[in-house]
Amino acid sequence: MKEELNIVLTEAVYYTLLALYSPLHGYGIMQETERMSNGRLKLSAGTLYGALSSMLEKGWINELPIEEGSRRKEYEITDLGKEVVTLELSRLEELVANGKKIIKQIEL
Amino acid sequence: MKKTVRKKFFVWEYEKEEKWINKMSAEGWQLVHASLFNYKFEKGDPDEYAYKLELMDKDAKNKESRAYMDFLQEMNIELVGEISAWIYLRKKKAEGGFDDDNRLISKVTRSVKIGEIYQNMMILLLSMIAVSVIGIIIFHELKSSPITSFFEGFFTGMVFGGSLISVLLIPVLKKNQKKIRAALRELVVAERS
Repeated sequence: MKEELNIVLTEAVYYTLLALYSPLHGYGIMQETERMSNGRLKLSAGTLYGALSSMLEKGWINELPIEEGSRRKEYEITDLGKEVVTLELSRLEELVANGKKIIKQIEL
Repeated sequence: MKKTVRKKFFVWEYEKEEKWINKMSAEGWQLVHASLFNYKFEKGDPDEYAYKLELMDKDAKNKESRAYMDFLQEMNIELVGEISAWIYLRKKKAEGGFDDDNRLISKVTRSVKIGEIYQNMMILLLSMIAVSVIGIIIFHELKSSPITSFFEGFFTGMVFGGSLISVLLIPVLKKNQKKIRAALRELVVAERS
């Protein structure tokens, strides 16, 4: 388990996990990701589908039962998913801290 | 206004194919149906749609492929045609179109899938040649008659034809492999091109 969690997430997966802290369908994830990244990260349908399928398989997200009258599947992050994204956040914090320390030092 | 175009499509021309459909679209001819050799267009707003040609892992009839195609529809992407594992997609330009996947990994994935198609073609051709060589030997051994000489000629033709196509396929295959290697080298540096 430890080994499995020691990974580097892609931007698509990282932002999708963040977006799924509240339940969303595919199109909603795409919009939310674009909004969070100020329009920088535009997920293609193929990328998102691949990310969702493999995260479902790993148990990082869940598929919610389809509501009546709705055709779209909704997804939500699981506890394991939250653990994964939290670990990724600490990794990113390390990157940022080291970057700031060295780059800012030279600039000042 | 409608028009039907009959046209061939070869695997190695997929980029050209996608460009052609988008060019037709920019001229106001919107693709509404695509099947083998058969393309149906309708006159419409030139700025309405962006088109994309995508290669799936499996044939469009497959259950996994169908699940993916359903997902595309949930993403407001319309399916206008399918040819084996290729699907023709369109999306409203007002909703962003398809100019969103320039990731290297997508390019690698596509090239690998195309490489598999070439490989399968090669295997098929080489098996055909092998069977034909055996055929030639068998019919050569038999007592000569118009029928045996017909089959000998037929199999000889298969060997020559098969060899010729195989030889022509080699540079195409090599070019595809080169593309994959170049993209993989880039991936060491960054995920996005």
